[in-house]
Amino acid sequence: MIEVIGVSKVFGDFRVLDNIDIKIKKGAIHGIIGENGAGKTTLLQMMAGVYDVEEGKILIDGESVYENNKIKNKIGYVADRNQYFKDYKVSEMIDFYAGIYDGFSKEDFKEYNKIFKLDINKKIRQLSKGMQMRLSLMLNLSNRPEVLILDEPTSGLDAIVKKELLDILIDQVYDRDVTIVISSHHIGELEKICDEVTILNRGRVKFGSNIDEIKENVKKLQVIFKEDVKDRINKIDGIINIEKVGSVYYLITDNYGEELTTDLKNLGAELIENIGLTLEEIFIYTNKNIDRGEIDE
Amino acid sequence: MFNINTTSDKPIYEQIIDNIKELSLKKILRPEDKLPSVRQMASMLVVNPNTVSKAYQELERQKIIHTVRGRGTFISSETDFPVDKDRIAKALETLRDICIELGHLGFDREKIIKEIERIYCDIEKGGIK
Repeated sequence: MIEVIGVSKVFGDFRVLDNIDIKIKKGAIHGIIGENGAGKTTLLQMMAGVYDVEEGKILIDGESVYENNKIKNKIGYVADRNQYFKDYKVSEMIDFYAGIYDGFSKEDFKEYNKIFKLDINKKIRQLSKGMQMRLSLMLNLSNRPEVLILDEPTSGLDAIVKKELLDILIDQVYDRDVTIVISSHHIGELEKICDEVTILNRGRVKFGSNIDEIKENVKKLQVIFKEDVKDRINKIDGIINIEKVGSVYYLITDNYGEELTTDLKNLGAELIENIGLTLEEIFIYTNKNIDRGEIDE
Repeated sequence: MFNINTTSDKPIYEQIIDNIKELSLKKILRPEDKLPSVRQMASMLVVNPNTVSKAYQELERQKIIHTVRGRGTFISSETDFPVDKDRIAKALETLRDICIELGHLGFDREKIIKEIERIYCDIEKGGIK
């Protein structure tokens, strides 16, 4: 169980994270989504104990992470950039990890390497970006962690290895009840595999719950009105985006319910149809700054 | 087997339940056919194993599948389905709502019945006779 309680982080005078609350239960796969610079990496680094938490608390199994070797032993952290010693060989990196982590298994590494296929006699500097990501994933999986923190793990991986990785993550949850926190720009990939997501926007939690709950509230509606409602539709609460194609309005709402449908019917809606949204669209629409005076036609 | 529709606002575990029900109605999955394990299904659909597990539990509760310890999960034979009055009542209520909604959209009784027949043709065509 990971608890992030009221966490803020300031670099200089820039507030990267602002009062973040997240609870992640054991065995969950939790996605962190946000635009560039939203604070995803900083949040993950704090969970992994890279930075001290100055405001708020981050607890894993009830204990704070920073400088806590007992907890850090249980964490696998795959950074978005490789941070290994460039002149080490892969085999030396394996020895280094085995020396640090109690749970490290060279046997596991060999097994994973049947999938990821790295030449262990190569130096880190000779590995491509994708190869370095493979190395980082294998080293951290071989720790047999209880918590896996993955920052953009699929970037730089080809489609085949990406699928292998997702299968490994599925196995980790199924066999060992590992808790996984994963950030990615490829929202489509996250949508199916995650139980829960947190959408970060400018350092704050925009949405944080399971995907089904978010989809209960955020919907895309296709609406046909008896007459033109251009001037009046802006006044309805809970509509965050309006597009118009011919006589059909496409509305995005973040507060779907009886109230909204009644409002629309009062405006003379003849047909209200829910046409569904992907998580990616939800992310885009809820992060856009909407000027409700304008209707995209 | 089937795919998960990410545009849909139907939760993934419900999509799994409905797809398995549909496949069994179409006789593509027959009684005593073995279902993929939770792990295999999770990998096929690229979804969280917990989600598959939740769907299987619900299907088991509805007596559509059953698990034999050490052997796997199987489609139950139809005679095993006990009549679940709650589920019938709920399904009939949904049907009633749909009839009302279609009525508002200009469908008369005959047109609705025709539609239902068309749906049945579709389901039977999709299955193996």
